[in-house]
Amino acid sequence: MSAPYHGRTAIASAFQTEFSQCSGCSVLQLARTACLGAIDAVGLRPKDVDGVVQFGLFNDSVPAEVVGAAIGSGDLSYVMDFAQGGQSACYMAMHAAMAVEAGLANTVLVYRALNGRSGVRIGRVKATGGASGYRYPLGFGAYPHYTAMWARRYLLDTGSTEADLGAIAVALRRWALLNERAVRTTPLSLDDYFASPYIAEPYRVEDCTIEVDGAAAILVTSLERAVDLHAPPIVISGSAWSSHGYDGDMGSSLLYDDYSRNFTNHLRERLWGTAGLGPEDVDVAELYDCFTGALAQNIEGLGLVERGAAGTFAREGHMNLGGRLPVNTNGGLLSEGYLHGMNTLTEAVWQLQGTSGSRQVDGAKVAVACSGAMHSGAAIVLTALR
Amino acid sequence: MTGWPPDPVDEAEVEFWRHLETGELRTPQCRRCDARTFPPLGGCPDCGGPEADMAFTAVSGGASLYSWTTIHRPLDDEFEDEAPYTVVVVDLDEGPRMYGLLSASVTIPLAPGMRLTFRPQIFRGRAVPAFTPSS
Repeated sequence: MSAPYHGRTAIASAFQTEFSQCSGCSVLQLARTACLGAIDAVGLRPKDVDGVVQFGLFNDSVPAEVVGAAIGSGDLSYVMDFAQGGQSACYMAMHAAMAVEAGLANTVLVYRALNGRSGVRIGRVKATGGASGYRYPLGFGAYPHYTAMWARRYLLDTGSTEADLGAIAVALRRWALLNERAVRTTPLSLDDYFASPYIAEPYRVEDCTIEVDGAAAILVTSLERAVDLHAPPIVISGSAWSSHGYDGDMGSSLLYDDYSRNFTNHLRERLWGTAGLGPEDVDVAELYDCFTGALAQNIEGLGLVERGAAGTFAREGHMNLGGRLPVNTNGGLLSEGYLHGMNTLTEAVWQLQGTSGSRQVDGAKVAVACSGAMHSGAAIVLTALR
Repeated sequence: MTGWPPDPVDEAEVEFWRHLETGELRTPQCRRCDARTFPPLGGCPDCGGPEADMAFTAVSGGASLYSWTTIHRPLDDEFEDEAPYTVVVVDLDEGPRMYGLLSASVTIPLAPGMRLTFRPQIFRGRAVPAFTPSS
């Protein structure tokens, strides 16, 4: 079952603002900057935009139509605001591609913008619904707590250790040292990792992402049109979404069966089937990593490494520049910063466009990216024409 | 999400905590098909029965440990003084999965599948589900 937009739609460009602890400007301003950057990168004008898609949580964003108006877009024939978090970035790209393929719009912006550190800190907002009312009274109320439950079970079921989680944090910091945009730029050794204090066992400070202010945007259009624009088109070759045992509260996992395998386990076959490619074809992987255990489950769930082998893969240097499969080449959400996975997707685009500078993976033609850590999420396979 | 108009009171949630105040652990159970569910999700996810046919009925209190985390940083001022404390995910013998505290006095190492028994505990002035290793 492959959707008709696969192979016929493309990401034309990607743009990011700088990341900071305090942007000093509004979320609308951030979104505007990222969107105008993505438009300008391919030589289009705001009036050419006829679709806008965005995601946000707890009113931390600005609606798609508002950003359309703020940039002076053309009349919008497709808009969507999706009220989810880390699951969303790849899924929003899929939506934009669907809109293009369905003839609802020609040129669709996808953005994520937030003052995630200086404004609404989503980790500090009390959720409602699902099992939220049954966990807050236990002092079980923050993302590191929720995902630590999954990491614990992952370690138990795979025989992995805290040193394996540490190896992942160390590997991604190495990438961040090559990325001027990254927020965490102090070199990290395994000793440093073990010296960082626990937040919720087995997670330490260095297992967790870091909140930032910033914005990122991509531009999606038909492949036919993208080849005439000013940047190499990145083909949306395959994609999939999965929701499994999600009760609507990110902090609750009472309906989910196996905490050692996340949503990627449930979309893997569909994803590679839609792309007509497999894990062995991937040159670079950009995978959602709000926490080290999420990266382990994502890389294993997509079939890129054997189950339980993520830590060893990191420790042996295979995720690094020049390694067997470079992973999270911007330093990931762990070290570049938490732009809610939109920066995971933009990095995949830049790697395939060959514009990642000192962290460029030589000759990268196939990338896989994913969005999400637990119950639900999306993944996308991107290919370069060159 | 907080805001205006305020969210309506979740009656199922109120009922769950009311039973717990009296020392009883109950979960919604469908009168039509007997299936138990947790958390409450309106009606019955198994047979599609309406909320009116869901009743909170007592469970035995027997459970198996599925996962746990010891929280050192509650990231919520209300709980800072309690840390570290351990939150568990347990599979009740009757089926549903549930959150609870590990009873404060437990010092033996935890292991997946460990048999646990429900013991209500007062935490921050409120009765909450807690579990202790079965003797």
